[in-house]
Amino acid sequence: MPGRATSLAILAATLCAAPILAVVWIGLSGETGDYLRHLAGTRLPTYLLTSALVGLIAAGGAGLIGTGLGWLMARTEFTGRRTLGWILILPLAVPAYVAAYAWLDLSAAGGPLHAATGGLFPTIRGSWGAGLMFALVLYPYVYLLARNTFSSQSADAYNAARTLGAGPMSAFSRTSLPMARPAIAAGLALVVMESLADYGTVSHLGAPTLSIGLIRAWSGAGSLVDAARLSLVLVFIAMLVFGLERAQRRRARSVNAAGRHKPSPRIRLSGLPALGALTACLLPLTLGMLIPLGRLVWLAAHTETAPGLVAASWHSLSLAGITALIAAALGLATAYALRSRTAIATLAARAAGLGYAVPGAVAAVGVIAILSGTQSLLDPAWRSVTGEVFPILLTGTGAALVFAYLSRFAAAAISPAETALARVTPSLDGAARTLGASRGQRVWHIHWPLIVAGVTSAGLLVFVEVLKELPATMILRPFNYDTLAIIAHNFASDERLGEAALPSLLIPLVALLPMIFVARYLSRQDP
Amino acid sequence: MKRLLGEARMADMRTVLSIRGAERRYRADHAALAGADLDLQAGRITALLGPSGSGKSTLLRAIAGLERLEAGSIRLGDTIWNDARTHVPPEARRVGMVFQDYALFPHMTALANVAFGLSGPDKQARAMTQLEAAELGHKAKAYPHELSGGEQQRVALARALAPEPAVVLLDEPFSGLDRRLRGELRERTVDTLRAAGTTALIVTHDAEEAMAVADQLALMDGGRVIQTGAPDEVWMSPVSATAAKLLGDVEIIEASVTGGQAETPFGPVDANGFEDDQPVSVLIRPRAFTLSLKPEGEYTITRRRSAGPHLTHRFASEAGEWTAQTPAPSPIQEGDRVSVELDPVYVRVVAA
Amino acid sequence: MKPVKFFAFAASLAVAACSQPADEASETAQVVNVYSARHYSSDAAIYAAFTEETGIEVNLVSANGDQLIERVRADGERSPADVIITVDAARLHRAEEAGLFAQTDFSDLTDTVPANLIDPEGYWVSFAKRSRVIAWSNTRVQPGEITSYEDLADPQWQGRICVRGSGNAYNQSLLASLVAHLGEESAEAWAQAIVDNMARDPQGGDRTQINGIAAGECDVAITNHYYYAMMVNSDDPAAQAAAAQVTLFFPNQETTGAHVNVSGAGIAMNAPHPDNARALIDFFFSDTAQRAFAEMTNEIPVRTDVSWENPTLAAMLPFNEDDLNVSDLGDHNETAQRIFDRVGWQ
Repeated sequence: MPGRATSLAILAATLCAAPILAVVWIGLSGETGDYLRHLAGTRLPTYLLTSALVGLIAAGGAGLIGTGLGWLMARTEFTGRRTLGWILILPLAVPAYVAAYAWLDLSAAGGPLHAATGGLFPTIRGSWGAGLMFALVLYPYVYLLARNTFSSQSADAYNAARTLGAGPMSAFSRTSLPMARPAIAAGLALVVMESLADYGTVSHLGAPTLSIGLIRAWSGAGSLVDAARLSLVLVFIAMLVFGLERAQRRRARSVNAAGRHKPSPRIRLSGLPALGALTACLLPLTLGMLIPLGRLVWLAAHTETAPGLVAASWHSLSLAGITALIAAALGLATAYALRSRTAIATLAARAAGLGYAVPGAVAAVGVIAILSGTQSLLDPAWRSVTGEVFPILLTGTGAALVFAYLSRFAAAAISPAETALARVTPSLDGAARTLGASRGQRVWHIHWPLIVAGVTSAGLLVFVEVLKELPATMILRPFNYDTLAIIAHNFASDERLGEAALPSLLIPLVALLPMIFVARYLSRQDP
Repeated sequence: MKRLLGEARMADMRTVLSIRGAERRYRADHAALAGADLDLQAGRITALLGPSGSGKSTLLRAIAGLERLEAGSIRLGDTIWNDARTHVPPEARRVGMVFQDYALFPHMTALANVAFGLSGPDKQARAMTQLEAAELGHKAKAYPHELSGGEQQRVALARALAPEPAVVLLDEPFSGLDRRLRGELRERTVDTLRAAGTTALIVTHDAEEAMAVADQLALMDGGRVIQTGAPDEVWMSPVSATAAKLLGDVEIIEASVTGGQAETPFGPVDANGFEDDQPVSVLIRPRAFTLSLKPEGEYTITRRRSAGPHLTHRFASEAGEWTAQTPAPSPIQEGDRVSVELDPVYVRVVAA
Repeated sequence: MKPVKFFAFAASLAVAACSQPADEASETAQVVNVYSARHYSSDAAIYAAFTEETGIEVNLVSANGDQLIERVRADGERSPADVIITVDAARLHRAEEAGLFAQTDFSDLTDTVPANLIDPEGYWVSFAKRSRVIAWSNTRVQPGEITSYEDLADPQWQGRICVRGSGNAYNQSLLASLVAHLGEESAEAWAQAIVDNMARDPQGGDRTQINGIAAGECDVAITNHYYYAMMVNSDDPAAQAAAAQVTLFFPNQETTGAHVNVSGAGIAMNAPHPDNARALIDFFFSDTAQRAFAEMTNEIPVRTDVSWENPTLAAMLPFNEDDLNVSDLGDHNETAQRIFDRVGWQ
């Protein structure tokens, strides 16, 4: 059954999975001393416990914010809703470590918030602080997916619950919410994985998660093999998390199977409820983006502007744009390949999703291993012909970066595409065929309008992820090639927050461009 | 036992639910409800019949509390559900509703669906009883997508009835089913509703279905209820051409009254009390025409169609063209000349 | 259509990126490829000056030291790296052990650079120094109460010390120096005592610790000297005010000297442009470069005969440095890390 296109998609997905598989291979094959035993006897329990705590807080917070806002945006109407719909995604463009640096600076002893409240305002730190930071900047994952689900959900189930005696809240929590659960779970899976793979935020806020242990094994003890081994734990957790998400999704098929979809009218809010809705939207936006970036801007007023920001903006924009386009196409192709229901397609797609699980620095090592491995592989043949060493074509090129991003963020592209494609039922295809539509016509006239929102959302997620990606960009980039995230991080890690302000601010600003484009495109599609 | 109770309730004809002047508009220029009045009698099944866009679904949803009225009132006995100040939320109304697509909770089993509206320690047991009454006990653990269309409908009805609501509302409950199943399920649904002794309102756009299920028929058009009454009575005595058309094919002849009679090409008919010179519409059901083969007959058969137990003949003269329903078999063929007589039972004169 | 344009653009970018190393191979322009763990503004100025003086263009990749090591190692003999720069002795040591450096004769530098800052085997040299020192509250700590790192282990400092996490290279190298001087057991006892004396769980960077003193959350902090200098020299009044409440103290002046870590560089094993690499490393010791370190990043230049203007830094000098050979720090880095793990220093 898998045709040429499907095989190609499977190949691409497998390529994306390769770096992680390389990390696994490094972990399993390399020589290792007794460091891991030492770790198990000392810090490992703390790492695991903190990881669990940070993951739970991030998931809880992001779930609450994302689901709430998703529902508001999908099912209500109030002044400012349309604009906010896209603005609410922006916090995703704020790197979590930037938010963390700013919030700790504000709230730590000696910071303005600490001083202004006489020490009453708690310092944003530790597992709570880190979890909160992740919730505030990662909630858009949940928000985007929940919004899509809530807006395509039939209102009848909710209404039926109301007529059966359930109040608005109860009806929501017993029908609309469980029906949206698969989408929310998909968003939460991404939130949890990204929180667990983060290094910058947790190290700055003093929340020793497993990634801290992993980076310490590498940087402190100098053992990349041990780091790779520890990352196996993260890969395992990822498989678990994504497995749970799959289980939810399987039920989603039954959710969609029953009942015809009826567009449900939005609840029009005015007066106090409208004000409440507006506040609910602005609060996470303020906490996750406006306050941290505002703090940085305030600090920036006392510092010189860093040079090279224009070039860095262009680099960020082009890298993110190209990767997003390829990722969206890859996600879609993989989603189509998954429809073939062959084991190999499923395996490739799931493996490609694992890139999320591992800290970027370690994933980058996998990319380096794959690239240098490929070069070494080609070397003998090249030498026999030219008598020279095979040139370095892969490492340190834009292509290598795009490859690294794809391997890291494929999950963000595949999941939404898959969800979107689920809307294209076989009967739709059948109907179009009986009407004489060719394959191309079906894809363009039937599939595309139905999946465009999901696919562009996927592209957007990847776009924003690439904008703020740091470790892989740092190590794999070509010479003299800065991105906004790199400049921001260099200053922030050097505790020059003022200089970090402008590049940090530019990241969400750059992200705004495609968002406006996508928003306009989607609103044209949506009659 | 329950059945007896239901009949006893039917006898007293007590009005349970009354709707007065219900208004609701979606757009400024289009009123979904434009002052609808309707009474539902205790233990009786009312069918609300109307073309699509007539506002019948909106009225149903307003009764359920899912739509807010802009004007008018809805009362259950002495309780006000809706008026200028009040809007009782759906969950406080004790209405049961069967949605057009059933709206079964896809993430819950059949049993959980039925138990949803119940409370108390024995709710599982009560839900099971309800499900067994619908002969679906064996499907208790099945999820909605594992049920057939008819089974889904039965679960939806069981779910609506389980909390013993004051009124059950059914929105096109048979529209998603095939014809054979539809008739069967219709009978079943009526039996179930009667057994429960519930006051019910069924929305439909199918005249045959409406008349088959209803104790009381309400006709709706343009956001108003234009006629209510027993199905036979409404059928026999439509109040307007619109009402007549809702219930089936009808020939409409514009006429004026002279001497208590309205003149038609088929002779004068009783003017039904309209005064002279008043413009009226004469409503003639196709079965009112009796065709007789006559070589010198005034009319020519232009079309002949067989429809099982009867036939339709289209016949024409210079004055016009009409359709007759004639019992099968019939020797009258296309091109034959016929004479026409009118059976006054199936003729009704209404204001033009 | 738009997508087509985008893809064309994507392809052109990929081609442009790919063709970059090929240009180098042509050797028409003089270049030097630098892999640096430093990302300071001083370096950009130094590279610009270097290009101006020699005509050699500097190609730069900067990243975390471990990542750089991994990239050079993986690329092997096709690595374009000429110069590898790290900001930590342990990383220099690790790069050396991974065989990334080419042995070089740096003997001509010994006139101006202290011997302990040059690798005895000639794999690398250090060109700037940073010292890890003690900061205390002007009001709550009297001068003389603390004279050494060891003093911080005293129970009288219980609940009074602020220090950042142990994942940071600066803390690892400080503890590694203590392991070298005191032995593993005593170093562990010291680390344990510091953990017991902490005013709060480790968080933030070194400036966070200085701010902690200013806000009264703790009385003593361990910090790199240049963070304090950065705050004093800052345009931000809040940072200046915080620094004004704090005294910076260089400990162990009577004994081993204050702990010093280095920024160092070596020539890559497979450097395509070894001469240019050597020229750049020599340039790090030029007056221009040494001055830039002192004035732009508040680092301590390794040459003492160069004049520069930075009153804040000048006021800290001179002090007795720990003259431990920095490669010893690399040797003890893993031990230090394990001690941190055992004593529960986050």
